[in-house]
Amino acid sequence: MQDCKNPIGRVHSIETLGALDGPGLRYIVFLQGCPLRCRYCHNPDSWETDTETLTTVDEQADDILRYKSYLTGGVTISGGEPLFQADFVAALIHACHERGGLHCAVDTSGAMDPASVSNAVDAADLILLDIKAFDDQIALSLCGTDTKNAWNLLAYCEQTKKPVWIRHVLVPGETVFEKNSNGDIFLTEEEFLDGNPQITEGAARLAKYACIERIDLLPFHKLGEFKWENMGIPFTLKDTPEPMESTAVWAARAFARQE
Amino acid sequence: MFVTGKWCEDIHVRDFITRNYTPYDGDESFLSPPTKNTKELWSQVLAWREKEIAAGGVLDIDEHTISTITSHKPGYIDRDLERIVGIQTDSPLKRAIMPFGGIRMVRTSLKAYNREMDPEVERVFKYRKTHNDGVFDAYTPEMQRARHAGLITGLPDAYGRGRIIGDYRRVPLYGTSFLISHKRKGKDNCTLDTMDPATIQLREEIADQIRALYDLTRMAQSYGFDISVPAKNFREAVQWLYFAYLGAVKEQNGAAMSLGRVSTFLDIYAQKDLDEGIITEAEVQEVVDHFIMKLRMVRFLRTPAYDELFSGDPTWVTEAIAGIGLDGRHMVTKMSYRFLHTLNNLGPAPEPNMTILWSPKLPAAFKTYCSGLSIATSSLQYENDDLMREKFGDDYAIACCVSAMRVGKQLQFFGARANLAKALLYAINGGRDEKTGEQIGPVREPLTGEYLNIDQVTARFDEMCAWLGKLYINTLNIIHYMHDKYCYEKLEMALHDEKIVRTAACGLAGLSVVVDSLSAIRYARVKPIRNEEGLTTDFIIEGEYPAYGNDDPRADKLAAGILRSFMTELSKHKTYRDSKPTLSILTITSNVVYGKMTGATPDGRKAGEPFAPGANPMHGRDRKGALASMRSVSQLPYDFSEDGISYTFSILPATLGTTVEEQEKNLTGLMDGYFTDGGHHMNVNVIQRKVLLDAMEHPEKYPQLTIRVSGYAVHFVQLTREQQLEVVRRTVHARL
Repeated sequence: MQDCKNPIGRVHSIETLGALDGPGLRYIVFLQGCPLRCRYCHNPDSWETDTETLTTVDEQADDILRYKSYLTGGVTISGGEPLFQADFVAALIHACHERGGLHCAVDTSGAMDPASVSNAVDAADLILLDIKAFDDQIALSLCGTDTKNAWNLLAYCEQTKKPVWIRHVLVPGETVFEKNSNGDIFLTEEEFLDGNPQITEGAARLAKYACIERIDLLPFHKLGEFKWENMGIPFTLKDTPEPMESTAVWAARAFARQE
Repeated sequence: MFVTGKWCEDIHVRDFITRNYTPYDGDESFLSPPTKNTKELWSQVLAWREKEIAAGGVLDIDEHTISTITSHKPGYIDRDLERIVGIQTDSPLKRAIMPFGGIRMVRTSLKAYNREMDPEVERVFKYRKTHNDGVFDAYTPEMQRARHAGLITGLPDAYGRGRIIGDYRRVPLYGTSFLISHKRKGKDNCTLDTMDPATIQLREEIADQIRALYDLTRMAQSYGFDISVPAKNFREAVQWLYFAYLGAVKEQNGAAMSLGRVSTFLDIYAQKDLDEGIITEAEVQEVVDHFIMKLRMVRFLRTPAYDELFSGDPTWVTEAIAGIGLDGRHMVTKMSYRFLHTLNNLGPAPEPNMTILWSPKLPAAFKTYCSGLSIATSSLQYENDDLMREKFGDDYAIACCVSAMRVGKQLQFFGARANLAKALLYAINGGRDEKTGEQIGPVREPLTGEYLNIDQVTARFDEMCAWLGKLYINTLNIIHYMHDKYCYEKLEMALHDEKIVRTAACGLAGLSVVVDSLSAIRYARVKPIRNEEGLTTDFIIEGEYPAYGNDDPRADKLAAGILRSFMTELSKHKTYRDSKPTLSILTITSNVVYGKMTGATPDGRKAGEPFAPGANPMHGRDRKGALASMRSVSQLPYDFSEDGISYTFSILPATLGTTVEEQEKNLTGLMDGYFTDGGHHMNVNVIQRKVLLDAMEHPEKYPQLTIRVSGYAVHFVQLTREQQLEVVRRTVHARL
């Protein structure tokens, strides 16, 4: 039986020193279970819902509070997909607020219908929203789902004035293109923008939201490849390179122009 | 004019500082770039250093002259450019022989570098004993066995013990004449009714100290300066202070020759000259840059075996910077910035070993500046001023890496360290060495049974530690008796009070190995693998155990318990000159050598594998990230390891944040948290793993690449390949 004040969550792992997921130094809780199967995922071991340790909100909050003197930022609840366990997330955020006055961020892919997870979203101080792709065809091929719920979540945040940081992974050949159809590398920013309409459109679309405080473009990396190997599932982006520096710069500028 | 006070009547440097220094809250924008002179002089120094590297690490040796304060005529790099003068011999980077610690070490070193012993020097030591000879005359067979087996190692029994910090500030503040007359009075005051050995010893020592002060005056004279009178301006103050330090490193080849806590003291002189308009900021920085260059050029002649233990030719010219005063004012001055700024003006370097006495209460701008420098250079270490101020006041400095002591009022008898991981194996093997089978410890029946039993192991381990503690203290008693007798630090002690606090500074290596081993025996099942002689040489671990470094109280309490009980054992024994036993958890780079000398351990560490450095958790066993690791270390009780707890933190820059501003802010937050939690010391390396790997392949590209290893910094390319690999392997905190 779930105790509604002290619900139980499935925790994948924790990282006590997070400096990249939200402002300042943060304790990161990775929750287990995710509805997406992103081909670039660096934590495929967090997909399944039936593994790992069960932790109550109180136990988890106790552990977070041990680090209070370090946490200049606060706590980030990530995953997996944290909103898969929205009740646990909401209760954990309330506990962190009440017991430690800690700033709490939720790092989500927006895969869930916002109406069903609004308790967690409302409780959070910041939403880190990962827009998987700015083209639904790409999103479907990359993650197996469209981004409708993600945009709905963004609209909900806009409506409730919830601060949002957008994140988007630059995956060459998937979410971002570095070559034209002849296989020639884009040499100028203009060529790049012409060849990446989804970037300019995405940037224009995001510009309409006042709740967005920051947009982080994250370069694709393969540091999680070994986990796919360990789990015996084929890693389809084996031959995908990390994005070139020019790609990162041009894409960042496209988003900055719209802000 | 300076504000007067107690310091005018009596030797009281702290009083002078607190009455006269100006705390600085601002940022680094006032700092000056290197002058043309500085750039020219530094390029000459770099050229000397290149020659030294090309010559295989030792450029030249004067094997004919026994080094004393006055043994060599003045030497210069470039007399027209140098604002601060004085080197150890007559030519830059030429090493001197200092045989009083041990003539044997001089012989071995000369042989290693293809030099002959000068027959004249040999002749002297036909008639004169050295410290090393004395120690081996008195060692018991048991001590020799423990030393040989690697149970107690790194002992200062063949070379200068170091770790003594002269109050070099006394020379500029008072001039040597005043210091000599003060020492004379001190000697008169110890004419007691009974001339017991302690009093006789002290009287003889003070006589030697007075002689050393005369020698120092003469050495300065040979460079054209009269230091018998106080320094009149900033440049003189730096020069006088440097002469005092130079005298010490001409007299002693000490294992660590700290500078002390001089920057805020010197700021008082600089501020006065700036206020009077007789010097500019650029000129102040130039003097500082030249002074730091000299400190970077201190060299000792050491053996290759010593280098294997303490790689990178370290001298530990440790300078303690910042901290908070007892009156609540912080002690950051513009000079704190100027000292640190030499890392920009001259590039990163391991020496001097700049140590920030951290408190969350330090001014924000200064904390940000330090974090930024750590990120850019990895050349700084940090220690908890709030923790140390309680025990040592606000005028302490750091000997070597982590040992706090009141400047001029306290010294330590350096005791290197005991290999506690080996002691645990002796407990299992009935006192026999796991590698040789030799009986080293007290004879006991070895443990039998298919699995190790925690109660049995703990009882045996306690018994082994009791034996080791007694042996260790007695060994130190012999070493320091002989060092005082044959290799007394005349000048350094002339810059101390007569009445001083002494500590017997013991140390331990292998803390995380022992904790994890006991945890494995307690919480998992550990099966010993015995060879045909019944000696346990390996272990099979069945199941999981809580490892130290995960903020898990089960493991962390074991760690605290080990410190407490070993410290209690050490305190039971009578010590030389009533020194107070203390304990450090510090290995420097010797964790690699200790590991090599130690068989497989019950935590799953294989025979020969390195220990973790200092108080660090074992590589790869921390699973909850860096803060959990830091929390485990910060929970170790400083009260039971008052000689210091060394923690080395390595992180990839990108893990600290996306922009440099974020990284600085986050590193500052990290240190505020660690020190608020009670952590004692932290080395900070912010470094790309691929840079390290590239530096291993192309050392010529990275002559100044500096990294922090337990307690001090080294040029990475000067480490042995084994140590380089160990650094690369060591948990560099990164997250996917």
